[in-house]
Parts: sequence; structure tokens; C-alpha cells
Amino acid sequence: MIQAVWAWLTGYVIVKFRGPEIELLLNRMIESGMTAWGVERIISDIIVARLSVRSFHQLRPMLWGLRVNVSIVGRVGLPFAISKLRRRQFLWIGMVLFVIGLQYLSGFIWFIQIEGNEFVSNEEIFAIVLGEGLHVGLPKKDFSARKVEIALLTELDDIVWAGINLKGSLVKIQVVERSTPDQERLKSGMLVAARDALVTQVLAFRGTPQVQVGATVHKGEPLILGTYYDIYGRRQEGRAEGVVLARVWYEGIGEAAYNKITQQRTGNTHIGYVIEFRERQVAFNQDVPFTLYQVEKNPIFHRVGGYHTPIKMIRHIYHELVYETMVISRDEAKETALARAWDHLKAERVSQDKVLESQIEEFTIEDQHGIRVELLVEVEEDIAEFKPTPEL
Amino acid sequence: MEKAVEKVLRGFTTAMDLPPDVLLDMPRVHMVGNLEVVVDNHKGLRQYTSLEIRVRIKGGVLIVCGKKLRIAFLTKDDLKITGRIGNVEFFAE
Repeated sequence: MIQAVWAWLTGYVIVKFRGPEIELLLNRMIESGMTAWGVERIISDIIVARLSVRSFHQLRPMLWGLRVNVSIVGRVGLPFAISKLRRRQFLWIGMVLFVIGLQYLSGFIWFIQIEGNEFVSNEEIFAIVLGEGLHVGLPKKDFSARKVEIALLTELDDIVWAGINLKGSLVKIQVVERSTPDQERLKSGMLVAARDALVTQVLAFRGTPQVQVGATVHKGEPLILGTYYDIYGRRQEGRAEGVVLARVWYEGIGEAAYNKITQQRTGNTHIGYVIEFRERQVAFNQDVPFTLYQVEKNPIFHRVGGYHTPIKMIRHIYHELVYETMVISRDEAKETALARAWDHLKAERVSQDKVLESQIEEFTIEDQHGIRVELLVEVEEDIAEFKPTPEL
Repeated sequence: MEKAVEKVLRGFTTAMDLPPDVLLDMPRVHMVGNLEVVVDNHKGLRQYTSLEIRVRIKGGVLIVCGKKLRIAFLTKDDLKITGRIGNVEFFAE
């Protein structure tokens, strides 16, 4: 590795030897103290080898009396690269212009990053910093971090600290949000039944239980009161806490027809492009020749490293669609209806894993030519719901 | 006379437990799997093709056979052959 680096720094030539007595020449070379590397036979009478420039200059007297032709096929290394660059003046000019351009462009802000916000949205913060004149493309000399920090602290009540760092062309806005104790947790009250249910377990962490295992409760009925007695035997009104597990029944209904309409792509596509720069958009080739289509948006150029670029290019692929009606079997329709019934239950936050028992009833819908499935499930869940004591 | 000197030197190196390549001008051959062969103390190349390389050594020829044989470096004392080495033979002359 070190030898390869040294060879590159000092420069070497790739030499082609042609003739029947190359081995003799190589022996003469090494006898005189030369080093050859990367020696490779290309065809029967051609060998390619790498030699230092100094060794190559010493080669001529050794060729005497031998039937070998020598020619250079390549020059590698720093000295050759430098001499090549000297001849290419426009490259130098280009490099100088590039450095000047880079220096000029590095005088602007190109990226803005926000960190530390959870409840305050990026849009709210952006609106304020934009109001203070901070935007992508702003010259750095016109940027005042202190001004933006003060604006953030005065205009956003939920922010207690704001720090702005300028690093290169990146402005990093760091905020710390106000953390206040949850006021809801301070209220006193009781736990009531969230649904009609059959109680299977009562665990009161704080308060007085009002129901026993095996009791049937209705929605809104008190389960655990917030009343408790402290260590001195005094009656206190606090916040009831506990778990009341109960068997609850849910009903989900799903319907499905014996035919279904599906969207199919015809295979015809149309491609358009949109270039976005901040709020402005320029669209190209957006005259879609289809009446019914689906758009697939693929950003082509929108990020550099981990940051969004100010200019985005998005490719829109329009797929032509047709509607097709398909007849399906009763079993398939039942399956679809059952899936819809489950979706109905999932919308009520019923987890399929927690179902203890389930019952399915199916009915034929004559007028709509389909099937209806009624799904009754039994689950065990915590039905306790906090109800605060009304404020006087 | 030369053989007698060599015989004495061989006896001396054996008796003194010296490395024979130092006093007897013998080649030293190292192999790394079937990937490379390094020959120290060689006397030059006799023939080089991509399938066979013949290296002159004291008292004979070292023949390295294989595929895609390449001389990674070649100096007065050392020679390194890379490629897919098939076999290495020593022929006394």
C-alpha cells in the first residue's frame, strides 16, 4: 500500500515490451538494480510492466542486442497529473470560478432545521421566523439570531427557551417547550362504567368500590367512588383510581353485494413534471389525455443528504383506469361482509385478540342482491372511566 | 572443487543450525495458499507466460504453473507471483 502510494507520488510509466526476448531484458533490468511491478503477459510476444520514470530512462542501453521493442502505454502519478493540469488552463479557470461561486453561495442560508418541538408545530415556528425575515436564500449578513429568538419567545407562549445556531448554510432552531402538570390529573372524581357489562374483577387503587364481582352494571353507573379515609380516619374526597374488568358485548354489522366494482389500470400512462420553489410551482406536460386516472408522485430531486432542498422536482405518473364489475361467490361475499363487521368493531376499539367468544348470524338481502353478517363478540376489558366531581 | 566447498558449507550449516539460504545461496520460497508465491534469492526469469513461469535458481529451475499468472513485483533478489497457482516444481540441472 505504502509502495503504491509512493509510486503514485513519484510517478511511473506503464511500458509495453514486444518481442521474443523479453525475459532476457527483464533479467538485465533487475541485474542493474531496477524494480518492475505489475508484470503481465498480454499475448505471446507482449508483456506490460510498470517502471519508475528513472528506471525507464536507464532502459535504452539494455535493449542493445535484444529483439525487443519498448513503448509507453500510460503515464500514472502526481508529476504527470500536474503537468497535464498545467496545459489545461480552462480547467484552472473553472476551478477558480467554482471556488469563488462556492464561497459566494456559502454566504446564504440554504437550510432551516427545527428541533425540540412536540406540541408546537413546525408551521407555527416557520411562520414566526419568516415574519422576522429568516428564509431560505437569505444572506447570512442580514440574519440576526437574537431577533428571531426573541420573536419566538414572545409570540409562542408554549416555548420557554429558543436557541438559534448558524452552522455553514444551515440554521438550526432549537426550542424547549413549557412542561406543566396535567390539570386533569389534579381533579377529584369517581370511576363510572363506560358500557353495560358484567363485572369480573375489581381492583381499587384509591377510593371505595361500589360494585362486586358478578354484578351487572349499566353505562354511567358508579364503580369506584373517590371517597376514602386517610390514616387519621378522616373522610377525604379524592381522585378514584383502579381497574374494573368486565365482560362486554359488542355488535358489528357488515354487508356485501354478490358483485364488486374494481379499478383496473389499462397500462396506458402519461408522465408530467412539477418543479416547486417555495410556494411557486411550475408544471410541465400536465395535459392528461385520460378521463379517469390515478396519479403516482415520485420526487426526483428534493433532498441533499438529510436536508430538503429549496427546489424540488416531482414526476407525476398518470395511470389510466377503467371500472370493472366482477361477480363473486356467496362465500367470498360473506368473507367481505365479515371483514366489514370486524372493521366496524375495530372502530369501537375492539381488539380481535381479546375476544372471548363470538357469534355470527347471516341474512340474505333480497332487494340488494347481497349478504348481511351480524357479529356479536364478547370481550373482557377495563370499563372504568373517570368522571370528575362537578365544580361548585 | 566447487562441490567440495558446498559440501563443507552444507555440513557447517547443519552443524551450526544456520539457515541454509544464507550460506549456500539457496532460494527461499513462500506460498500463501494458492494465491501467491514469493521467491527470494532467485537468479532471474527463464520463461514467463500466463500459465507457466520458470524462475532460475541455484542448482535448477523453479516452475510455477497455474492460471492468470502475473508477476506482482520483480527485483534483483525477490520475485512475487500472483494468480491461481496450480503447482510448484523444482527441477535440478
